[in-house]
Amino acid sequence: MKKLLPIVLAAALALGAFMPMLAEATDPMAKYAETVKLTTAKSIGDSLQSFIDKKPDVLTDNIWFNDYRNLFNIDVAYSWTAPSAQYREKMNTQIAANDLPDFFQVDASQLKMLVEYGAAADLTDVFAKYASPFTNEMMEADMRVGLGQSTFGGKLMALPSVGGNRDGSVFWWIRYDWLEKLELKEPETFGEMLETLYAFTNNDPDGNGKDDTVGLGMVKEFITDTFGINALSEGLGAYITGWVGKDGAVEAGTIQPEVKKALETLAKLYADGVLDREFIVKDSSKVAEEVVSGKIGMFSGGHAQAFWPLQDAKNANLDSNWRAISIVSDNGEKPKTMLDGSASNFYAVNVDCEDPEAVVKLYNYYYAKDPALSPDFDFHYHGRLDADPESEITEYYNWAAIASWYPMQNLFIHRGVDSYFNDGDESALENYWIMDNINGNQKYMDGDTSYWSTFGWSGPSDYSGEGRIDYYDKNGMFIQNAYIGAATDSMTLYNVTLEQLRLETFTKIITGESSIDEFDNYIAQWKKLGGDTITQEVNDALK
Amino acid sequence: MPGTRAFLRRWARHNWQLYALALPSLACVLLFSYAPMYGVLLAFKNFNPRVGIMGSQWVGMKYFRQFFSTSIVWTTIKNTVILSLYSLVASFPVPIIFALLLNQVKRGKRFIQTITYAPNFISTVVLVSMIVLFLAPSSGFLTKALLSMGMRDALVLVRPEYFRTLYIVSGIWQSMGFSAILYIAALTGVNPELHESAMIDGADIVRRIWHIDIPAILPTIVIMLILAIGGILSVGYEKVYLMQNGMNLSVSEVISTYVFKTGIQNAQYSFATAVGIFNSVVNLLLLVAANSAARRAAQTSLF
Repeated sequence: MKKLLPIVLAAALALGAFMPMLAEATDPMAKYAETVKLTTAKSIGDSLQSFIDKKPDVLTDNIWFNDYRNLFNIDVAYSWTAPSAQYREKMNTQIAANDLPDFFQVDASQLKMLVEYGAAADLTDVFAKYASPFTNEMMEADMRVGLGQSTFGGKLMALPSVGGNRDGSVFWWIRYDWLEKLELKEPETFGEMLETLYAFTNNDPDGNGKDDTVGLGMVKEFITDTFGINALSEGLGAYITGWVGKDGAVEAGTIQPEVKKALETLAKLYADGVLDREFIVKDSSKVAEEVVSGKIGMFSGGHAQAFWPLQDAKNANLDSNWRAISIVSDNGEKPKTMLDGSASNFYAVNVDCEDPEAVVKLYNYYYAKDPALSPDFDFHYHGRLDADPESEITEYYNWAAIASWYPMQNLFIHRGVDSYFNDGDESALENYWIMDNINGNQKYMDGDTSYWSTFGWSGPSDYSGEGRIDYYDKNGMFIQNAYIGAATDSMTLYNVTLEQLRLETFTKIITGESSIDEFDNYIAQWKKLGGDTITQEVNDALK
Repeated sequence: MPGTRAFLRRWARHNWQLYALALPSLACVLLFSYAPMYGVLLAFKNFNPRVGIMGSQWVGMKYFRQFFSTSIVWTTIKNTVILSLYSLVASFPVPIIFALLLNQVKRGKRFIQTITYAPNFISTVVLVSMIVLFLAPSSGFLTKALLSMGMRDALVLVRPEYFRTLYIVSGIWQSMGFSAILYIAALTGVNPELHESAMIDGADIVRRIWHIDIPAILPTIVIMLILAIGGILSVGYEKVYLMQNGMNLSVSEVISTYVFKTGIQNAQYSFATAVGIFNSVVNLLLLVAANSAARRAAQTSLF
């Protein structure tokens, strides 16, 4: 708190100095003279529901809503709420019934629909006028990717709920203890990775004398990061769900020759039993179970796997040592992981709402209070870490009517943790989020294995999830998806067919039902069944 | 003419109780079967909720053309027809045979009936979970049984060639007992004297079933068959959707699952309505055709 005082004083002074000037211009955070009433909707997750059970009025009587009323004279009320699993469909229904609150959270395809219907307000001017300097700073940290996703025909049609796109990186999680036991070195090329997978399958890495391990674990819907094929395929430069630049135009990643190479490899691994031969019937909870029970040596994943399922894996077997390692390429070049957009949710404002600038104020206010980087940061708005979630209400950040994040927050935390442990940088402790993670890491290092997930997530090396992303960032191992806009018209029409064709063909090739030549047939089919139209639309949209 | 009107008025006054009795069901049909037909308009309009159905732009047959321009259309129609035809052929006779056999059982009839129609009360989700559990590649007991009978591998759930069999056999198991109720009821209407005199004439069980029981329930069978044919394109999406996976999509994508994926999940209401109308029209044509065929062949029909 001592540190905050000078900042507050400085801010007060600065404000005082600029007051005469600002009286003319708009103060983004000014309080309304008359109460502005806004309605919205909310998706209620399990933990939120448990808090509502304890305190039914918590939705509108909480630290955020009370500030909205007291500081801005904005009275926010919920028109409706829905359990998070049903929110999207409920919103679809509300859109179809044209019964919408003043502002509300939507996904990319819903936003596109709203824009087509003329139901979303144009926020270009109000955002330019009312976005606070810190909000703009956050948009810059996001390289304005989120704003770009919310822009249609040059007009800003929504406020992005920015999450940051680096966290979408994919890498390998590997049983490092098995690697050491079999006296192998960390795989750095594609060939070494294959050797490792074969060794994990055939050389009894768990030392129980039984042939009960597989190198690679995978789910039945495998075109994905978590437990999918993406760590393997992106290493080869195959971006199955993305769009890649080629000869001045953009092409779908799914029909590139690199994909063929990835499928060929997987078919070989399947035939040799190195890829789990029962993957076609396994969903992610089943694969997670096998990771925990020590059957699997490597899987594709992201930073979140440190919490699930790897904490459980640590609990089940204290000797297990999962580490995040880079994807590997087969041509000596640096492998790159594909990044998508930085926002998957957006706050649209009803075109009939009379005070759209009030929504921008709520957006500013979240940025003022939540990111640990903000000059006005106050951890009370995020939630009490000492609270017992069983009996008390916490996770205050979930109660805000609008939430958008510092896009680099997770990397920023890791870097702080890293400089504290490796460079003895005590100043890292001053930031609340970093301090919290330093404490968790310290507890793990002191022997409390229930804190492994913190160590596996933000730990001070390249082997934690965020550490691996930091490594990618420093070594230029990102490639941006060439198209991150909402689904085009023909995508909505043909994607069901094309995704079905893809899953079916790829599954058959991997399991040996079809030969690899089937891939050429797949390309022809894909183009004919709507793929060419989609490619045309995507290229037009990017012009 | 005034005379006719006066007659009608008198007639209505005399029979007003009958009209009053019919009114609630009439209102029900109007409200829930005819009023929603207004929504059929959606299929011909580019729906924009801000201006409502009437205000939306008229696009004619655009969504029908779109449906037929997707390559998947013929696969889904083919899959739907094959799945229902197989279901019809395989599962239509089962409850009839079962009812005829049960009718001959002297003791424990109620018990058998209760046991066989109990599965009808299991929800689709539970039924599919049971199938998945019993046929799981490494742990399912049915998988082990089938393997010992010489099946080539343990992947019954994902092999496309087993999908229809699984769908139909589990369907028969679930609905046989319940569908038989109607036939059992019809069989109780058979006069026992017919059987007695047939026995005196020396007819054995098979002869009696053939010449007495079957003719007695034939009208019921025909009506049920017409109704079943009328529903041939309406394979419910629930069970198929739950049984789908990457490997069996080539046989398991049916019209209703496709409508669910494009129409409901992607909020393409106009498109979904157009496909729905197409589905209903084909069903109606099949119903009328089956009805007239039945009228000619068996002198029984719905209308």
